[in-house]
Amino acid sequence: MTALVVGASAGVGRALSEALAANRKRLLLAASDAEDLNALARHLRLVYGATVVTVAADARDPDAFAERISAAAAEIDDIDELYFPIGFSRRDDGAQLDADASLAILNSNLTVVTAVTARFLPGLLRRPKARIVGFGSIAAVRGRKANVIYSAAKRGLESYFESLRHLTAGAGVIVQLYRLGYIETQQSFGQRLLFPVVTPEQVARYVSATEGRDFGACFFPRFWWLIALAVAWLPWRIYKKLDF
Amino acid sequence: MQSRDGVPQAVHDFVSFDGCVRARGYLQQPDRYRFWRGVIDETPRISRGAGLSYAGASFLADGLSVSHRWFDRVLDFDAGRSVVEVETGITLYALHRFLSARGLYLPVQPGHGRISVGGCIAADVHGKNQTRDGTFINQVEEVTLVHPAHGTLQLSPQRDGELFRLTCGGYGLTGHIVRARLRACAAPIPWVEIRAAPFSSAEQGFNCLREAARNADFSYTWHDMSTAGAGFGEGFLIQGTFVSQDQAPATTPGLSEAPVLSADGRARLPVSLLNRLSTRMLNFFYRWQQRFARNGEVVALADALFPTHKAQAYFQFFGAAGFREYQAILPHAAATNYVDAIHGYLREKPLPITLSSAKFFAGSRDLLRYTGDGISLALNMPAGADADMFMAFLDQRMIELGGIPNIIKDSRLPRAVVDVCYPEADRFREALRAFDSKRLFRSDLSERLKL
Repeated sequence: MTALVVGASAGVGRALSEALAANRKRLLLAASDAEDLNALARHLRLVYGATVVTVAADARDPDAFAERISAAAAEIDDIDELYFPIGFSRRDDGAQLDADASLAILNSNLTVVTAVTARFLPGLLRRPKARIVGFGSIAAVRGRKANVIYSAAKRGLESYFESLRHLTAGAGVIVQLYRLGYIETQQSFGQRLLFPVVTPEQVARYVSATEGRDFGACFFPRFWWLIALAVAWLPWRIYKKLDF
Repeated sequence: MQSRDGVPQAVHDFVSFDGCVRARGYLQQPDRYRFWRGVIDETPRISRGAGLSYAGASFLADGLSVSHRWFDRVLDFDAGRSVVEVETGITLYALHRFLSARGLYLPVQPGHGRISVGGCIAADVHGKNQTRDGTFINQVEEVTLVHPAHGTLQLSPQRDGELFRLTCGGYGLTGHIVRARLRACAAPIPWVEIRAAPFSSAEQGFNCLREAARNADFSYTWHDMSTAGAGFGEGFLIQGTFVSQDQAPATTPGLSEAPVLSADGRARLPVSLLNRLSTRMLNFFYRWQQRFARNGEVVALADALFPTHKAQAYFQFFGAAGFREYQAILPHAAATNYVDAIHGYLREKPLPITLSSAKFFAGSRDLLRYTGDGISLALNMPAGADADMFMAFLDQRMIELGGIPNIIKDSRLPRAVVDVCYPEADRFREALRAFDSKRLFRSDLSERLKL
């Protein structure tokens, strides 16, 4: 089995790459920085004996990014699994970003996922068993005054994965979207958070453990399901007063 | 808070592992190489590995601690030369797992696997046979150092040897040590026989230690100093040797994760459970435990290298108030006098000495490295005014007897003591200033010792 991990160099992407290598999968790793990718690839080859190919490209240009990945994929094998632990947010994302800044967030969280998937989908549909995994966010549950563009992109990603699941129904492709709560990454670092933070390794273990399960979308950690429900159903007159 | 380098900084309450130094500063946890390549601003800073230094070596009040946590990968391995290149945030245990699968190990390692390689380099730590193996620097081939004023530097004994020696044992004050090439040794077998031999006095223990340091792979003594009465100083010589193939268990030892250890986790108990009575009970229990090892007990190499994994509760017993460790190398001729002085003091002012352990040391003194010829004796006790008074007494006795204290083990150690005991302390300061005129890399330890 060969897996493509987009956004592999840090956080969930790195932990996932390590878990996949431990499960003896061949890897095509993509991220923006060649040095980060090389360090990870060397580690996975030495520690797990994994076959690893890397692609350094900028996800803010989704077409070029997808093109580079396609070219690299031709070097190793057919791709069986796509993982998209990619994301980008800014702390000043409060609905006042200019078009370039907004586009960078949209491209890194959504467009690049659609562009890369489009390249590999025909091949995946021909395979007896394949997997496409996206990573959503609890920020997509309900729009709020912070992370405005980021939340919109993640909401779009949810819709895209619903469509993908519908489109691939009946084929051997499992489509999964993990809606992640607070993860210990640069995004959450140093913030006062209401709920427990989980490590990228915990996310990776959960994704590995739920391989092959056709649940569509799920929350991780699972308690976020209840919080999301409460947030979604909170009456507007209360919700509008919340400062979060 | 977003810093100029784009990596968030968070206000963090730091505490030394001994629980005696607390400071509020900033913590940054980069996870990408562009952090090291980018423009690093001139905020006073220090690298932070596992945060397990007894002294406050990885933080500074209002300063910035840069965590190497996410830089913990194996980057290269030369099987022919047994040389491994790692990012220095890697823990000793993770590295041990990698090396042991290839029949190798690092002979110089401190007792807990959660300690980072970077911390071991910065403090130039010793292992369980310092006489034979030296200190950590002996297994370092090269380090990669990042400093805002100098960029990225590759240092080795051959390439900028002065700066290499200043960095290995430089307490992180020359810059961020981001990568290291380490030379491993062949582990003939992943099993070690531990043998505990009783002795009836500290002097006898030190004599046994001299012999054991020559013949065994690991050797140290344990002394009972929990009572100033009869039996003070008696204990066990603990020796470890790789077993022969026919003595080894048929299985390969499992290597699960090292138990989590942190300064905050250690201090979870609100009160100390260790007083004179409980310390005597603890020592009694340890003696009882050694009966298994009197005729030899075969343990996994990892258990011999990291004995603290199975004794973590010991550190937790000290509670939030913390503990003190006094470790000093005494010249051979003075070691017994030193123990007599300890005995005399404790007879007058009883104090629960929770641990007393010695190792045989050899080597020449250099900069602020904890090396030299003699007996290295470590004493643990609950922190407090009584402990500090006792340690001040030990400072005096140690100076009179020509000893040197271990800087990384004592978060209280005054500059005056270091200046008297380490003749090259000023040379260390001058070399550091010559390399870094702005003295950008600073810690609680360096401020206290005016380094």
